[in-house]
Order: sequence, then C-alpha cells, then structure tokens
Amino acid sequence: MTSNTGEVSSSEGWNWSFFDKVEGLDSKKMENCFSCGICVGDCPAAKNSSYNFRKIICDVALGEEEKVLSSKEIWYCYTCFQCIPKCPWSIGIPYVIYRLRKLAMEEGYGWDLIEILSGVGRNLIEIGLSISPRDYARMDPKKAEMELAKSRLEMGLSERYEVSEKAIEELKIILGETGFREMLDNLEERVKESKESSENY
Amino acid sequence: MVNLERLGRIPDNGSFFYFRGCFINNVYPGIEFATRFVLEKLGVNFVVSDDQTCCGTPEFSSLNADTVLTSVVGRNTSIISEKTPFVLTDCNGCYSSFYMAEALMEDAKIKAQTERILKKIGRKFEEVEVIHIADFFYKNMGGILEKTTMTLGGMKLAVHYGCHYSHVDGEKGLDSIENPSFIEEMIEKLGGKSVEYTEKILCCGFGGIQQTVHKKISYATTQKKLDSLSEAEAEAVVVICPYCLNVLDKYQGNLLDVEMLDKPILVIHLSQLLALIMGAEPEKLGFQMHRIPVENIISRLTPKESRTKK
Repeated sequence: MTSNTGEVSSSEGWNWSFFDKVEGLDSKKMENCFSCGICVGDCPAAKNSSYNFRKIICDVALGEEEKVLSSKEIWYCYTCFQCIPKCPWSIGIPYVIYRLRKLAMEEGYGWDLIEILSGVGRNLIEIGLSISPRDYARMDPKKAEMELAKSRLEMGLSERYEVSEKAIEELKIILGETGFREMLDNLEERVKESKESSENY
Repeated sequence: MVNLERLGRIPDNGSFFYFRGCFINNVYPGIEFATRFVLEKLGVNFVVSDDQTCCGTPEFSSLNADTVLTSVVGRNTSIISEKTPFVLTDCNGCYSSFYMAEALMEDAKIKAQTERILKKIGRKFEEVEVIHIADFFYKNMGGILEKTTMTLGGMKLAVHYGCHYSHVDGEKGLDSIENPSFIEEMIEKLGGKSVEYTEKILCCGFGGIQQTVHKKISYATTQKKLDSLSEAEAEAVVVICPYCLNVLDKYQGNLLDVEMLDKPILVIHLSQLLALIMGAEPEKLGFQMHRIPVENIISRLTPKESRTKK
C-alpha cells in the first residue's frame, strides 16, 4: 500500500494479475521502478496535482485495479514525455498511462474527460485534419472561417487547407480498421446521453 | 553541445517534403507563410502533397489502441516516400507523432496490426527522416545570415523548445535534453541577446487534454513559465510549435487582463522571426492572430547596414 507521503512499502504482497493486463510492462524492472521516483521530480503534473506515477504503478502491482481505474490521477498526466528520457528503466510512462486510460474507459470511467477529443476525432474522419478553422475561433465560427480564408489568400496560400478525397477515403478505411470510428460513435453517444440527462434535471 | 551525428543526417541539398500541420494552417497560417518564405529564400527544393493528412495527433492514443497513431503516421510515410525520404515539420505535435509511432512500432504486436491495416489500402510503413524546421534552420545558418536584411537589434529573447520536440527522441535529438541552446546560438548570431531562465524546460501548460479538462493545473504551469520568463526580463519568447505559441500567447492575455503578469512577453515562432529579418512583409506573417501584439519586435529590428556603418 502507499501512504499519503508517497512512500512505497514493499512489505505487501504483489498481485500481478492487473499488472499483466496493462500490456507492455516488464515485471522484472518493477522493483527498480518502485524505489526510484526520478520521473516525479520534474513532472509538471506532479507539481500541480496529486499525480505521482510511482504511486500509480505500485497500486497496479498490488492488483488495485478498481482503485487505479476509477482514480482521477491517471487523467492528470500531461503526456509531455519529459519522463521518457529520464526514466532509467525505459518504462515508457506516458504509454502506460494511455493504456490505463483505455482500460478505465472500458470500465466506464473518464468518458467526460475526453469529450474534447470527439470534435477533433470527427474532424479527422470527415476532413482528414484534426483542427478545423472553426475550432479555435475567437469570434463567430463562420466569420472566423471567412477571415482565415481572407488572410490565407493575402499570404498567397490556398483559400482553404484541404486534404484530397482519395486521402480521406483511405483514412476512413484505416480508422475503421483500428476501431477508432466505433470508439468515436460510442463517445458521441455517451456525450449525448450525459447532456440529455443533465437537461432533465 | 550539438549532436553532430544528427546534424549530419540533414542533407545539404536535395528534395524535402514540407509536412503541413492542421493547427498551423487553420489557426496560424502566418507560420506556414513564414516557413515557406525562409525555405524559398534559402533556395530549398521542397514539395507538399494534398494526399497528406493530419499527423495522427498523439492524444488520440487516449481514445483507442495505439494503432490509430501508427496507422495514420504509416499512411503519411507512404505518401512522403513517394517524393523523398526527408520530411520537414514546423510543429512539435507533428514531429512527435512520427517519433512516437516509430517507438510504438518496436512492439511486435502493434507492428503486425499496423501492417495488416495499411495493407487494406495497399500501403506500407516506410522509413523517413523527420527533421524539425529548427534543426534545419540551424544547419542552414550560413545561408540565413547571408539572406538577412536586418538584425535583432540587441533584443532580449528567450527560447521555449517545447516538450514534444525535446523529449520524444531522447538522446538522438540535435541538442541536450536538459539544456538545449542551439536556437540561443542562432539568436546571438542574428544580433539578439539570448536570455536564460529557470523554467526553460517546463511545459507551456498545454498538457494534452489538461488545457481543456483541468484548466487550473494547466494555467498554473503556464503562469510559472511566464513568471520565469518575466523574471529573466525576456522581451519575447521564441517557440517552435504552434500549440506552445497558442498557450503562451492566449493564456498570457488572460493573465494580463487580471494583472497576474506585469508586462507582456511577445510570443513568436522561429520561422516568423527569421522571415521578418529576411525581409518578409510583417502583414503576411499572421500576427493579427496573436493576442499579444508583435509590433514591438518589428520596431526593434535594425537594418543590417547601420551596424557596419558604426
């Protein structure tokens, strides 16, 4: 178990069943990892929140599946990759976090936190780009789109940045194969449901 | 110390694929104009393609299996390699997508799945050399110095390299991870004064989904960064990523509004800065999209002749 100070005790027995579910982890490296903590030092998430990868990974090795997957901590990682070159054990921490988030979503957690990705995900499928001219608009989105087109023309760029039809078709096929489209449909359904239920209050 | 092996992998001439990013094109097109302007001034032969899509956006890995990133990146490498193996990018997001996909492909299972998916559209994951535009400009510093019409006029400039440039390819990168300084070296050569600051390595605050879902912690990071820049009396901060530009510029506007920051610190992409001193019209560099006005930089630039007259 971990205490509030972040100290890790190794007296408890490890339970690797959950650990094995989080693919890409090597149990042989873990004793080193638990007693290290280099990743926490300069981690921007650890500086501003209760995120602490060493505590998370310890809970994983203790088989605390429900605790980890329902925790808010796994959603605090900045995925800034600062820990990648720092980690002496080459654990690939952000990738572990991605996998934990995915497992958490399978249990129904975290969907509200990735709502933002539904818009960019839909953009990717429909126009082959994740950011559309309307996404970061500081004014009415339609007006923003027109202003952008005007600026682009003045710069001698094409009026709009467009991906070819062929590319979008190919992208649709591969995004279908990866399960991305299905995941996105799921996400949109959940966002819709949660909006409807809040409207009923 | 600059990694000479990495520098050597950037060819002196030949053809390059300019990988266009969606954030740049749809939010800061002035960066694309600037990159093209500098490349054209240097006489670099580069191509673009409408068959290229979004880089794959690292954050989509939260949405699904890792194969989303590897498949989208893989498809783009296939389009790129039809033209040339050398890719230039002016966005840390695009840059990191390529390097993350490469790292993920070391996993046999992900590799096999990605290959199967790409086969459906008759494509393969091809090997390409992804070069950040900052590295490329450093390599071409001689040509840049020759083509500049102005100097930076002793302006105090700090540099923010950005996480998805500095940390994705580890020891293989152009400069030190802990304290990169090659852009500072460029600034000095271009007549500016480079400024060191405590939080140079700190993230801009974007933090993937954090700037949307945990605004408080995201803002805290941005403020720490800006406070450190302010303490070092930097007049401007040079970035090499449109996302870092967006966060440092937009949040800064909010912090200034509530007087949590005393003085504005201009935020400018390296491509925009170089285009400016190489004679690009400021109106074409898209500064109207920035919240912190960049006019102060423009007024500080000094024509090159005046230095030789002194």
